[in-house]
Amino acid sequence: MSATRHVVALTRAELVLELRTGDVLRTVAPYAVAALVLLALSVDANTVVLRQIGLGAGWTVLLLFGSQAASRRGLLDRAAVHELCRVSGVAPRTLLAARVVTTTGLLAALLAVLVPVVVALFDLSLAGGLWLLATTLAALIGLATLTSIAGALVTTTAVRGVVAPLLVVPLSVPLLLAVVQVPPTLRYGGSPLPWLLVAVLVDVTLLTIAAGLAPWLEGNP
Amino acid sequence: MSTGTSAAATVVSGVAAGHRVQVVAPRLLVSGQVVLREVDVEVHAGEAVGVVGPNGAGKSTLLRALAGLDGEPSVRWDLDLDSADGAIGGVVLVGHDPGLHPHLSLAENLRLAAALRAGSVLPVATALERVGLAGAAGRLAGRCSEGMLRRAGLARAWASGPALLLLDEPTAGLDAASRGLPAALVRSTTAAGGMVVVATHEPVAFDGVIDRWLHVSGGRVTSRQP
Repeated sequence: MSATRHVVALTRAELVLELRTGDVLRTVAPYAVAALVLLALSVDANTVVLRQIGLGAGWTVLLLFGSQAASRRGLLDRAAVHELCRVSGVAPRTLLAARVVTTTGLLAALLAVLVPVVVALFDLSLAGGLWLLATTLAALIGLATLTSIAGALVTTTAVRGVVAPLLVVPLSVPLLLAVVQVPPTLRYGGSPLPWLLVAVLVDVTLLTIAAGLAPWLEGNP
Repeated sequence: MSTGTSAAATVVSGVAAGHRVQVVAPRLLVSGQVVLREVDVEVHAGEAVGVVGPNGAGKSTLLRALAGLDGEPSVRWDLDLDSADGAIGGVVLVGHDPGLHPHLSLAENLRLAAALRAGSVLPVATALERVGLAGAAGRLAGRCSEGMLRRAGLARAWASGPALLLLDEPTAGLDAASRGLPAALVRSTTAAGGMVVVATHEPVAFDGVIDRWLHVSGGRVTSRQP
């Protein structure tokens, strides 16, 4: 199970880097919180309106700032470290898998920061929490896969911060829709299962694309 | 992230038993330009090969090809690392950039390398001590001098016990007290049955440890007597 060992080792090192540099939690997260505050202040102070847009606003901010967070220069974005991995026998698919796992973790951390802010500012109800949690988790994995593909694809550091969100945002719309449709579906007595399946289907599609592209994306940096 | 050298090499399997690496290539490219032509380099177990030549002649390109990096599809990379005793294995390339992340400490970088290789033949602390960096194990790589990074790269190689060790200008940036470290690493690697290729501008630093020399110049690799 060398692939698992490689993913664990690379993910651990990436998380140590995040703890040390704070690229996501100390640099990106405060701006994401500020964006939520500005959004809340820019609409009617009516609680009903705020409640209606809360989940969508939260996910839009997560999507935009999450793609920015995923564009950070991580461990594998250093050519010499990437070559060290390749010479050490780490397979291209394993390298991309490590990026996806790390990015999922970082996006989850960013989400953990944003959830209390959204709940407080938009008076958001977390009713139907398990469905919302499952759909959110599936959407996070999809978003992480998408940003990892974009990050590996756009290797020029000078432009990746600009181009990666442009690649990520349109393709992540199904994930956004899946999450924000869960509460209204529950409210009107429907089952949110189709929305969960949409997110899972997008995940499977993106992971299949990632596996297919990995030898090209990670094999020749 | 791009280094500009071109595509992946083809691995040829089913070669004879015993450690051996061979690169046969009609040409090796850097940024689409031909740097070396008609390359045929082979190294065997326990052998140390030195590579000399002027700047930009293609020494690093040759090392990268031997590491299985950046060959064209037409490049044949034939690597056999069967190990009888299991004590050594794998490929280690210590290049101009020793592959250390600046926000990880020297020890963390070496532990990461060991984890990627399923362990090491020397504990990280011992390897760092061997290159005189025991006291700097916890220092971030980004806070180390070039010479310290070079020595840490050598420590990584020492800890790995590689079957194929590729060193690119290993004496560059080293102080007088450390200049013997690369030769000692070459000696210990070949003594363990490993193969070594060293690109250097200072062949005198490897007196007595290199079995044969290659000269890279004018787009060709030619043999040269020690």
